[in-house]
Amino acid sequence: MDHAWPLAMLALLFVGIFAGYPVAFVLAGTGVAFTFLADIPLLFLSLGVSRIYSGTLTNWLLIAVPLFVFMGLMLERSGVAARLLRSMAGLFGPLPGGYAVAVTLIGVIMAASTGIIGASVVLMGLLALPAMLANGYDARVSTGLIAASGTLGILLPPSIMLIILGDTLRISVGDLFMGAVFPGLLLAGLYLAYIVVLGLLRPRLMPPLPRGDSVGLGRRLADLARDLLAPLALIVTVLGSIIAGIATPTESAALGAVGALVLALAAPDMSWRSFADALRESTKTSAMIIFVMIGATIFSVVFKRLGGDGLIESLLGGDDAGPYQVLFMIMLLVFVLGMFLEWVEITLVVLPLVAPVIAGLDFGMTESQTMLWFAVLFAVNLQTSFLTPPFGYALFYIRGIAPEGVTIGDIYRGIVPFVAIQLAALGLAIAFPQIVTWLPERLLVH
Amino acid sequence: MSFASSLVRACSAVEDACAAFGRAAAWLLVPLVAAVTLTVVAAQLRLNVLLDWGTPLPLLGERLTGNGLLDVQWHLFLVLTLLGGAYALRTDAHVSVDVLAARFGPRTKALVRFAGDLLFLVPFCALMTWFSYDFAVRAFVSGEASSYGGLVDRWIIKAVLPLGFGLLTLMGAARAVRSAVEAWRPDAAPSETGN
Repeated sequence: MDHAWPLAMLALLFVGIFAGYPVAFVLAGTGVAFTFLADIPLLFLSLGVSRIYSGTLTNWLLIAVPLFVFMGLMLERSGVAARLLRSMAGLFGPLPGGYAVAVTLIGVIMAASTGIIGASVVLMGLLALPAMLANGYDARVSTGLIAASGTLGILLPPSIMLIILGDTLRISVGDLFMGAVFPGLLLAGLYLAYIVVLGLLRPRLMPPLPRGDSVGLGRRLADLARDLLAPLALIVTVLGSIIAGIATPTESAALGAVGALVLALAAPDMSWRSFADALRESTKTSAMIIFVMIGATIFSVVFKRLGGDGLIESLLGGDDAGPYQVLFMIMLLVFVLGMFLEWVEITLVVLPLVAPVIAGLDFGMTESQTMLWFAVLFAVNLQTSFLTPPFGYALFYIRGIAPEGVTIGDIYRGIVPFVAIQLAALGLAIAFPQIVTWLPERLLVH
Repeated sequence: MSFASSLVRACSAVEDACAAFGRAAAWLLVPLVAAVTLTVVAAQLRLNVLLDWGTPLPLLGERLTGNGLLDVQWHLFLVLTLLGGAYALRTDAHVSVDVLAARFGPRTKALVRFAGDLLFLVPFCALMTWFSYDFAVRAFVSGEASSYGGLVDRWIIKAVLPLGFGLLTLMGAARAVRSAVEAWRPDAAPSETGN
């Protein structure tokens, strides 16, 4: 068999990953092990060092990763989102299904002001979920909605995932950010539509909250406007500076980090300890991502040397497969992997393997349009990796903090309609590539 | 105290020491944010004050040019992430898949750690330490500097590579020993540390 070596590599990778050992080192260690096993000259791996140095460690784009993580953590600690949730719930809560609408909108706003998903799932799980359940909201709808709208942060710009995707596929992160805007808003719109329709058909799932105090509508609107100010300013700073061409994604991340820092300093319960914590968390998360990139680099140089490219091509259907058939295979693979793996592994392991195949396919677009479109499809699909049982980060998190009486079965069943909506959005973006390509072509001058 | 439990303690101490570098390096994020922000501000000033272009920016002193500032950014980033690798390992922050591992008992987990450290982590990091040491020495011998008027003395930053991978190798070796003791002498192991 001609693909014996690459297949054996994938097998060891699989065993190591599912044994629960850190993915970064399984990747790198598998590469090293097969250098010895397949009798590749050891010097070949020293190429790996210079590639890691020039491709990853001195990669100016990747500096945005720690900056965006830090920005998200500081924003989380600033209490801005909690205040926004309170004022928005005050306004929408007394309407049937209103609290659910508020949660979706917070999800969008938080998604557009940070690049990590943690912040909004954490916040809404801790603050919104108990309030919803206490007021008679259905546990399945509540947990599903919080997990799904909290996960928008990974798709809507700024997003660390899009930065890594852009780097891996060598496409402009500015384009990617803009390309993800409409698919992200489309998803949020579909969530809202689902909530509204469900609220009309089965109002008992989402009862209105009692009006707490006799605050007038004008006052509530004023509160909301005040609490929206900070997140909107941050969104305008980060995304606006990219669109206006003042800043690269890395630079906009630094501006955002400064902005979030100012907001956090203004928060009453901000402490030195909390600041130091945020620095350490950002360092750990960035190191984690960078080390998976390093591991994937080592794995893929050896994998390619042993003929892994050919294996992947033949697995994806060979020469006679149509472009949409190949695309479907990749999307299915990503969806299935998403049940077990997180976006970091899927992006850094699968993407470099399938990207050359996609670049060679004809979808009736230019190659750069195709890659941009494919990257955003990949990103939309990866959202499901947070939400699909048995292992989705957002589900896991909600299970950890859900009040008593919410079972894991509720959470798993609650997420189903939202995953179905995501797949519908994915289908729409496949059928109408303009959803992805229109905005970047309008906004960014090349 | 038995030999086994002193061994576990000693290994934990080595692991903590390796992690301390990354824990400290986390503070580099502050100058990193400052350096990138300063670059944006400097770029905006350049647009406004076209005549002054070409001279070093006053805020940055005589030595630090715009390109130097760009170099500072990735220098900080490299130190932060590379030293952060060992810190993340010590605090279990490296991404891993728990589908099956969540059901493992402490002994199986220790065995997986032991096998993984010996098979994956230590060989890779030891090789990287060796190769990147050469890499740094070559930069030192040739006096490599920025080719676009940035910072000089590239060997300093390249020397962080063998340091980072060396720390990981050492930590991996210590952790393998500790995991072996925990797997075969569970009674001797003090409760799992790590903060």
